[in-house]
Amino acid sequence: MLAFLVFLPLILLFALAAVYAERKVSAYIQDRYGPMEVGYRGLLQTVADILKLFLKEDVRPSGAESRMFRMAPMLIFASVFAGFAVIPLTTDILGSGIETGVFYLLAIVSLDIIGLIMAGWGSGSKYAVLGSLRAIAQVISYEIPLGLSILSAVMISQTMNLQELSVLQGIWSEETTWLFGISALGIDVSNVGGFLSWNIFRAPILIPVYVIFFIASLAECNRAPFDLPEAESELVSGYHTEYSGFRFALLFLAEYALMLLVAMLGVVLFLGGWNTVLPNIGPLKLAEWTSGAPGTLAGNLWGAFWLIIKSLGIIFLQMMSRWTYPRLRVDQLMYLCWKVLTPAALILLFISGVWRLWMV
Amino acid sequence: MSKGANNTYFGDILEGITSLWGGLKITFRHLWNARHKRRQIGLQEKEYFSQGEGVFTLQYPFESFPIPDNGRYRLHNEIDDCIVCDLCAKICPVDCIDIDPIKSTEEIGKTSDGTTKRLYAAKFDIDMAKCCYCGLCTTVCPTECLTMTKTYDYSEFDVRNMVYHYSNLSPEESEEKKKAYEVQMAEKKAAKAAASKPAAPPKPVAKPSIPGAKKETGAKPVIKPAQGEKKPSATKPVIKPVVKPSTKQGDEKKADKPSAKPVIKPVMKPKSSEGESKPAPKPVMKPVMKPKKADGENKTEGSGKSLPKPVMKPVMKPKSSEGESKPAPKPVMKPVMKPKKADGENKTEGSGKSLPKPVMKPVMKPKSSEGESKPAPKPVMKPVMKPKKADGENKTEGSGKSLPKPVMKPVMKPKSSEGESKPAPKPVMKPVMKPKKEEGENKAEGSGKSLPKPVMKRPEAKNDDVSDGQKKDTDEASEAKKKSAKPIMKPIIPKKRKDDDQ
Ligand code: SF4
Ligand code: SF4
Repeated sequence: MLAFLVFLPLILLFALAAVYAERKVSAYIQDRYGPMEVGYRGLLQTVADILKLFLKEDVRPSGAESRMFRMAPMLIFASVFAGFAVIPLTTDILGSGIETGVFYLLAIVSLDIIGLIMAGWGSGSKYAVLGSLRAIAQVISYEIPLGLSILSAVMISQTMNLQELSVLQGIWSEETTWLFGISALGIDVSNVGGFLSWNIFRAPILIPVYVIFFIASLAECNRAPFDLPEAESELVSGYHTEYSGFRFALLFLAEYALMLLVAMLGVVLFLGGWNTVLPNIGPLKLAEWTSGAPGTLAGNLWGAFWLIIKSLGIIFLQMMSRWTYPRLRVDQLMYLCWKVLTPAALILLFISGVWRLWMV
Repeated sequence: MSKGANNTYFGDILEGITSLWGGLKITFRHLWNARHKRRQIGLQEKEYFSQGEGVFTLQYPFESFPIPDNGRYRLHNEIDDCIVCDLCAKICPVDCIDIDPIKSTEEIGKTSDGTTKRLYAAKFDIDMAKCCYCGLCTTVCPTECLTMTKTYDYSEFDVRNMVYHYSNLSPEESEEKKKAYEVQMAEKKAAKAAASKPAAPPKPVAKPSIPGAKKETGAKPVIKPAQGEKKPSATKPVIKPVVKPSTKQGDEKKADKPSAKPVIKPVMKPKSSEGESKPAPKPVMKPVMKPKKADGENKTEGSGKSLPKPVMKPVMKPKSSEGESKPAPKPVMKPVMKPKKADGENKTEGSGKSLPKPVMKPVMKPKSSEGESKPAPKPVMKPVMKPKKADGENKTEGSGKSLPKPVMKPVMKPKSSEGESKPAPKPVMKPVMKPKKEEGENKAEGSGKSLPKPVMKRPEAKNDDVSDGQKKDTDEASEAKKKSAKPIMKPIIPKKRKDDDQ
């Protein structure tokens, strides 16, 4: 319940901030200012936008499948929001500590695609149908490298419980952590913590895996350069072409919530979860000072702080790539997925298994 | 690693990674440089094109781009230096300058470059909403009082506020000036009449002509003159409301003196009507020749003299009578026409064939000369005059009837000269040529054809040609408008033409 009360406002706040940030980042990349008029340097711009959306009429096309059309935004947002149930924001703030958290997450995020089909097909608009068809092709394809990359991290950590994954990557881990995961070096960094105990440093093979995960997650949440389902220049706005008012706001919210979800998932799987960035350096117990003991208020605050900071960093990268790279063609999208990412992920999965067997 | 379409599988991946990384570096650099913005420097600065980094946006209402001092945007008229020559209004391709001049009874003063001012501007409006910033008006302005400034942001909520008023006369003042001028004119006319016209048979004719003249002008001025003459005070109040808004505008925009304009218009019209109507007594003019001479002199004088006007009036009246008679069947025309025609043709042919036609032409010519270039026309004017005289003589010879008729022609010319004679600089004007052409054509036509109608048309055509020939007047239409508005004569002509055409 606590997690619900924390995550819902967090997502809402994040969506507001992210839209603003997205506009600012794109503006600065393009040597302009972005929103500047509403509030100080346009800070209230998205608030004004949301207010406007709430006040707008909920237009429903006469050719739409009424029930599907009306349900789709709620289904999409519900599935994305359900994904947050297993994200360990801190040691205590966690919706559900189920052992199969990773599976649950993959499954629930895939449910999102059902909502996209409902929205696209139910709209009775060719643009929406085309957009949702593209979304299906894209998301189903990218489930594979995404799943394989997650599987690599799971194999290294030997657990599918996201909270356990987080604990393993910090100074509170009960396992011995060798520098770069190579026990032969004989350097024990269990008490150093910081970034050295993150999964991508515990097993450097996970660095390319994380790159695959990042790319696949971009495609999963339909972000540029994989925004074919929404391709404004071709499909007006893809599957949510026909939406307006509050339902459109909900779709938008779900989109940004999904960004946050995949970013948090990546952080939990590869980047130490809620663990601090700073390592203990001799007498400077930076890791302990910036962590707080699990279960204490300080521990919770630090944990939430680190997880959110890291997630925002990843989201910033998502934004950068959106405003840097052009949209892929459909054939390029499939080429990248089936001929590059999937084979690479398979190979890395194999190497990860070997690593787990021999190195640790 | 090869590049492009023939890449290998791993070459593709490698190239993809490097180019993606290169792209990220570029966008990161821009993101980083967005901490500062580019300096807002003018186009004339050398670094203008070399600033590659930083935010480019100019937040316009709060910041503005430096404009060079010689920027050519909003117009400004230094009304104290304006001689109201009307050149700017004539050359403006979009007719956005509206000038209403009042003749002065005396020399008003000098502009800063020493040019003598003889006209008041009862109205000097520039409609900035129409202006296309071509700058033609500033190049023709003889005193360089009309200039373009670097002010470029002067948008308004009400498009009517885009009309800038530059006249520095209040409605009352302009009314006063007009009256003073009218009084002076009346005095001069009276003096002339007393000195030059012992016998005044034509006078009675003149009176009837007055109403005719009004009718002629009717198209535009009819209403206005009546108001101005009958009820100057009544019209004024109506005008004032209009004026007030304009003043506000002026204050806001730094424009000068909006108030006078509305008032001026009504006044002006009455004057014209009055001026024309007043001449009525002039008919007294005995010698046809004299009026003509007066016209010729007036023309030479150019603008400041009102002497020719009286002559004008007499002519008008006869014309009006003629014009009225014209609509009637042709036969009627001939009698009247003949004297006139005789005049026109007498010059060239001297025969009495197409008497009516020539009459038409003379009228036309004055118009053309008026509309186009008054100053230069002087020499031309004389020739015209002569023909008239000749006409008069011819008439005596051919028919011996219409002494007053010759008077008609002279009148025409003066009118034109009066209405448009303001711009002193024009003298060089081609107009001289035109009159000749017209005469030549008239002659030929007149000789070949005796029908009054064709003659009418031709004169018009000629006028048009003349205007075309004059490069100074870019807008034929504007000229036509002006002509029709000012000279009473013109209105009559168009009617005739229309009838003929039909
Ligand atoms: S700049 Fe051109 S358009 Fe504007 S008032 Fe002068 S002549 Fe007319
Ligand atoms: S051309 Fe110049 S002097 Fe002549 S009326 Fe225009 S502004 Fe005045």
